Amino acid sequence: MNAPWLGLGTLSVDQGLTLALLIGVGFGWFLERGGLGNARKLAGQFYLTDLTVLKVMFSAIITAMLGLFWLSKLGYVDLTLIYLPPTFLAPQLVGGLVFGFGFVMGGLCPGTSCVAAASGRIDGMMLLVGMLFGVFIFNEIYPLFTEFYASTPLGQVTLAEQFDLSHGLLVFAIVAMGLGAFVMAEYLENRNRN
Amino acid sequence: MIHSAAEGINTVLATVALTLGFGALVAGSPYEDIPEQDLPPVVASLMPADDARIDAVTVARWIRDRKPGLRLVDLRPAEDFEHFHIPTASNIPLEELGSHGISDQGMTVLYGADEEQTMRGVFILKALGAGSVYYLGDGVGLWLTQIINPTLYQQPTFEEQLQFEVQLEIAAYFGGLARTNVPRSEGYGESAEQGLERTMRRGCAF
Repeated sequence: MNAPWLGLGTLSVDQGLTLALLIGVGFGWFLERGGLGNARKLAGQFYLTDLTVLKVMFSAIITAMLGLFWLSKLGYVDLTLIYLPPTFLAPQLVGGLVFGFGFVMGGLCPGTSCVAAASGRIDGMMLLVGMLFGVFIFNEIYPLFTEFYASTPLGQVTLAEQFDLSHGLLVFAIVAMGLGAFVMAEYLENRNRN
Repeated sequence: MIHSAAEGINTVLATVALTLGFGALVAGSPYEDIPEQDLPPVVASLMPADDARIDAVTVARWIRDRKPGLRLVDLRPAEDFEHFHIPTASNIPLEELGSHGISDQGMTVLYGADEEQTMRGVFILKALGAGSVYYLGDGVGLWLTQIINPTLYQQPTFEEQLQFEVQLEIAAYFGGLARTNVPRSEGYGESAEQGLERTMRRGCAF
């Protein structure tokens, strides 16, 4: 096994954080070049006129998923050393709704708001300030939500384990779903622009 | 021209993704482990039972309840044992375990300085034919973190709170001192030695 570098001790925590910073900057650069620092482009997602976000995200998911699957299968990555965030169903569903509401209202998500702010867009900067303010408020009122925050815990689960599916079947299904989504996105964009 | 080139690239990428995805369907799980029955018989005979790895709370309860036949063995060097050990433990340093041997009557719980030392002790005892062998997976550090210094980090999950309450109940019997509202950053990366030093500074004599 050669990876993950942090889990196997190839990299120290400091080196890992430095590398994460560089990868983050690279990620932001590519998002910006792809036009995802523009709230109008992101809002097009909800009007079905510009589905770039869907295409970018599905491309990233499929690339990372196939990369991890095959690198693990070939013995280069130890998947058991990769951190899996635990699932808390109800609070994460509510969190997702709040996130979606903010996304529609602001036209940017947390990552793209950083990209927009870094490229000088005022809406991005405002969203960034709002996001930090939201984090501050949440921390202040967190004691009121402690019970709900830790409710409906499922542990560190994957879709394959939860639904007792083969990992390979799930990978294939997500690839097929992604490619289907690309075709559908192209069709909708062409229809709604004309 | 540019448009058709991009379409060409997209087609190639989609084909690659579909091929790799179909291959995954055939390949199965990326988590597959070597089945135990495929291990050479000699190696398989040294493997501890699935339930042999126990936590410090279980050991603490066994000690408190004076479980019949319980033998607790500290595999660390004598000076480390003198510095600190789990109550009722006897000291057989790992280097002496092979020659010292151990009675196969009753049940033996092993712990070392860390997981590696502990597991080496388990393999030696299994090779000697010992039957009922248990071990503290992370060595003595597990006793320190679960019994002597049960810790509840800031913003605990439901499971962490439950685990903490279980540890708290048994820790009181051994003079443990709970720590609550501890920043998560403080707990990560602390070695067993650092945890022990911090515990000794507070004056706990176990």
